[in-house]
Amino acid sequence: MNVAFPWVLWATAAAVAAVVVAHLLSVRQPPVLLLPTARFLVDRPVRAVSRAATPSDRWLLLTRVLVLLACGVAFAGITISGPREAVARLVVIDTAGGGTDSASLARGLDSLRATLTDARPADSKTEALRVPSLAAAFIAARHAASTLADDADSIELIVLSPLRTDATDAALEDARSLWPGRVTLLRTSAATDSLESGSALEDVSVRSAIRDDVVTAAMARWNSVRGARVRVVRDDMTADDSAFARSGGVVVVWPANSAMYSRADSATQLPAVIANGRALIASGLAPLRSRDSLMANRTTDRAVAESPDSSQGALIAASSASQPIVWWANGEVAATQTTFGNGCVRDVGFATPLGDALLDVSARGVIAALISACDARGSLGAPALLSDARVAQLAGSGALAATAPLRLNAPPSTWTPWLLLLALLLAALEMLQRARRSSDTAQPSVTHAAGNGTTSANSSQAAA
Amino acid sequence: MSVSNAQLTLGPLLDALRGVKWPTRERVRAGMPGAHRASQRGTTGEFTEFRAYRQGDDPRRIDWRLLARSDRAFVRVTDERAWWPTWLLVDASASMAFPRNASVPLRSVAVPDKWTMTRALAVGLAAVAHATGDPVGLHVATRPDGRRLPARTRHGTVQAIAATLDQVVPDGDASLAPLIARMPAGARLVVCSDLLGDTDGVLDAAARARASGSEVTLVHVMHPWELMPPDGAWQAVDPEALELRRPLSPTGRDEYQMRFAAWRADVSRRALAGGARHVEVVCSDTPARDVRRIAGASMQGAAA
Repeated sequence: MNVAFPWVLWATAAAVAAVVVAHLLSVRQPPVLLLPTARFLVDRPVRAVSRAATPSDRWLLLTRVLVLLACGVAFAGITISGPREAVARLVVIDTAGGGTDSASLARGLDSLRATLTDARPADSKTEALRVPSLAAAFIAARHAASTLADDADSIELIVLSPLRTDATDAALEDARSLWPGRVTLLRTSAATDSLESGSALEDVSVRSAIRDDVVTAAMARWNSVRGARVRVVRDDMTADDSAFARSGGVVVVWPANSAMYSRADSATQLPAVIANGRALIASGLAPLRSRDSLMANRTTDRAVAESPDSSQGALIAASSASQPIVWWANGEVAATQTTFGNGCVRDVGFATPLGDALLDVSARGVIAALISACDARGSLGAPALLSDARVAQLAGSGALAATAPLRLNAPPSTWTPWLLLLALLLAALEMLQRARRSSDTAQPSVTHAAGNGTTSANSSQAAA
Repeated sequence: MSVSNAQLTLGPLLDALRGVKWPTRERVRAGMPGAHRASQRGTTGEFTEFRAYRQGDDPRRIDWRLLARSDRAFVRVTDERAWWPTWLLVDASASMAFPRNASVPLRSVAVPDKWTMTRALAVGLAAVAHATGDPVGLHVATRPDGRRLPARTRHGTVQAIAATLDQVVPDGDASLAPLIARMPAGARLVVCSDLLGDTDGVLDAAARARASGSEVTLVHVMHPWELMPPDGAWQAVDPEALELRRPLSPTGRDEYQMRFAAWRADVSRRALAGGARHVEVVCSDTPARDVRRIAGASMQGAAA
């Protein structure tokens, strides 16, 4: 049985109680006393409130109670459906980040299978959804629950998610509040926090002839990858830089001289560079004036000129072509990587953005592409996992979500018109009863019995 | 002291009133020889004084022995004694049955109802008047024609009055005023009523009867429940006017008592202004005591 508006039932119960109390505290005319000196009493309406242990006018009370109950049940929207499951399951798979790979998903499904086997009967209804984020998981679950609400008393929401920080966003709290019950959160990825892996972050140093605080701060802020030594060269590359790259380091050649860059043409060139799927849009992103020749000759010239062994350098140059790592918005290459010995050299072909744009989160992809290890270019690094406390907070405690508040549109009760019709008939019957009673007891009858001088008086009683 | 209906039987009441006389408040008119001092002086009866002989006096009334001693002619003056018919006018309207007709809870009250008390008073006063030697008559105001016993002095008059009253059932709203107006002048009229009927008519008739030489006594019979209404909430209905309905609640009881007391005081004042006596009798009192009070007050009035 479903009740669309339970408060209507409570209001009906209160009204019934009020009617019963009214019948216990009915206003009626007091008993008649034949008093010869009645003329000296104050002339007022002859009515008094009296209390009784049992309700007066029981048939009238019964009729009124039935009228109220019929109206209450009609307006409460009570519907009776077939047998339902006690608990329905709703499985939502968060495919954000690394949670979509088959291995992690398999692990999550294994955990889910174990949970279902241990705690729930096999015939309970289960529905699965795939969503791109954790917040979307709750939103999708809220919508999907409306379809399951008619078949179960409560819904168990199971979310398969990598439970990483990149799966959360500002909407997560509001989205979580949409689900009124406890949530089972199962982690789908075995990834561990990179900070706990034992590897140190990249050793990034910036060499610049000018004060270059923004670049230095950006390298430090977005340094979330590990396993490489990085040297950002803001002026000309030296032999020491070549040796550094040959020894396995990463040399990022990013000239700070603004004269080397052409003025940005907003009509043909958007001031945006893209790497790792993220775009950095900022003013001052101007391309190098001679970027084509520079990028084309960078590797060969540097290899021949700086290698102590020219034949080996030629071999290196011949075997390692420049690979783009950053692109302009129109698809042109904005930065390249060239293998150099055990390391690599990365040439940056766009000017430093104005202001502190590099510190914005949108610059994370570009910076990560520039300072990542040579064999892991383009990786943003593994984001941190949500802490256990955070997971417990999201999971919540208490009972499962009841289906009553999850129903968006309760189906109209087919009983409503019939109940209202019954209420109308009962109301008419109540009016007839009142009319008959008022005609019977309109005036108290006082009759004098002839012969013995006794007088009998019948008190009238007016129902409230 | 309260009495029950069983105590109001004739035997104990008459025993309690044995020897009680009921003299008039003033000299009565000359008439049949009786016990009351008459206004007419005569030659027979009780000696009063000597008066000097005047021309025209009956020479037989000259006291010859006094003439012989004093050489002056004096005549003996004596008071005549006459009877004084007593008429009992009893109100038998429906209000006199209170509280017998009130309701079930009040029937168990130990105080007799107003009609029982009125019967006892009437019989007691009749016995006292009859013992004085006066003829005693009875008029009962009932619908349609009332009941009447002529004034008699013969033996058994009191019993006849008691028997007549026993046959009367208080009912209706018959007025006493016409009965008072029809009474002969120069009589004692004792009106036993609660005065709740035609109050103005009764008082006016009493004043006229008093002016015609009758002695009028209004015995105002009340029940304790009228002085102090019963507790609880009631719908008070006037038994003589059923359309009159008033709520009797604890909040309105004080105002009721104040109004009732003011009305009684007004009735007493108007009765005295008309020359009638107004005696209040409560049903909780002893009838013999009330009869002595009524007769004693008359005696005090006569002495005054």
